[in-house]
Amino acid sequence: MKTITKIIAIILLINSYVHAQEFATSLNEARSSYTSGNLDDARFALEETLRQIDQAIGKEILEKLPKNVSGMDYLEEDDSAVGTSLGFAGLFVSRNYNSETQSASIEIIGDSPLMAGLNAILAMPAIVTGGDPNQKRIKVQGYKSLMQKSESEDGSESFTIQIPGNSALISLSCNNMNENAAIAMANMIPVADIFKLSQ
Amino acid sequence: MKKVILVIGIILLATLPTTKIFSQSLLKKIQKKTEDKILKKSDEAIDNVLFGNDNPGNNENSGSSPTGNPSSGNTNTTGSGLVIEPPDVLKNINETELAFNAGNYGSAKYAARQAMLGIEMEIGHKILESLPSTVDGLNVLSDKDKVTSMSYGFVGLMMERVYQGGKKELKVSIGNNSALVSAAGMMLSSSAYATSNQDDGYKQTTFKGYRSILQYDDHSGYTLTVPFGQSSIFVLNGINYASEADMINAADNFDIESIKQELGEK
Repeated sequence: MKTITKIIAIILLINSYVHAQEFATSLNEARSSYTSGNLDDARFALEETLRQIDQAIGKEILEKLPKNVSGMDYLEEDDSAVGTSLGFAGLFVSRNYNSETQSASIEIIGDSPLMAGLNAILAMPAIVTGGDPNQKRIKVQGYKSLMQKSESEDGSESFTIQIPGNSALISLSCNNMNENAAIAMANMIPVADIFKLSQ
Repeated sequence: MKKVILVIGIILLATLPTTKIFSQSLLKKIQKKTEDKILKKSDEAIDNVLFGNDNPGNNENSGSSPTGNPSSGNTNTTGSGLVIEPPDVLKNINETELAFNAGNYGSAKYAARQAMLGIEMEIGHKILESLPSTVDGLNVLSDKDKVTSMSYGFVGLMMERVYQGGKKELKVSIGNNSALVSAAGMMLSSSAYATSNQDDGYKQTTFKGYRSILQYDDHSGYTLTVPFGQSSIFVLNGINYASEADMINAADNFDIESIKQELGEK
């Protein structure tokens, strides 16, 4: 067991070293291209730099996400932290959990234009969201959030909770779980840390 | 008193079934409005580049419109405005490096975006400088030269220049490094778009070897749209040009190949 832990630690160290090297390479390329007046190459290298920064932010967010929630373990091989180098959705992080009967996923999108719409709905008086029996406003760790319920053919319930911040949107999907369990899981997400990191 | 309570009770009971319907439709309306707003913003950005839309509402970054009346009734009569300088690229690159190495990724991202903004502003001004100062007897209105950068992907870099003389006006818009422009360019230059569009105001043409679209309407005159490279577009809007041939003659003054080279496009 100790050997396995050591191997994982070494792999992680190598991975982070390679990532830091790639970052340094593209940043140096941006610097030298700009100095030599090659603006297009400098811009291209900076786009790459931004993608790597987004990736680093994504990895840090993944480290902060819980590894076990409501009896479900995370699926390490599904972990994803992507920088898209597109302003439309610069940062995308996802983690999946499952057990024999339940599954869940957490997704974080940075620079998301969807947040404007969601924040507008959440700022409305309760009567607006009160109209849809499958949708309600809740607070997760003090953040206004939108919860949506759906029911499958076999009668099992699924919940989606969306928590918008200033620069990121956290979405939690819980399958075959009741409302209280879904809210409890949402409360295990380090929301403030994620919003701070993705700023 | 009892009567009043009774009447209120009846009114509440009568309106109860409609409250739910009302709130549902209101929610849908709000959701639609917010979606429309997001789409409108991206449409405006495309319109600016593709069709030279000169609606003042589109120039959010220009800072020319008042932002509200002061509550005291006083109006501002002094003040020299903001000092707007493009960000220092090398300084921001160095800050990106320092912040990233210190594990402060948020600051690294901000500094990298500032560096990107600085580079894009330089590219934009360089392109504008390379354009002719007079076209078809029209002089450049240098105070209308505009470079807009989102510093990152979605809308990209945009440049605008206006030429004017008498009743004639030419407006050049160049868009670059934008996912939206890239998609729009693909659509416009595809033969499917031109052949499926039966409107008399559109036609597909070739301008300096590039597949282009020429449009005409009585209000905005002629508009020539030329997608080029991987993510760039050239749009020329001519007002009060007598004919298609006159418009193309004016357009011939612009060297797409050199703009393409300046932008580092292939």
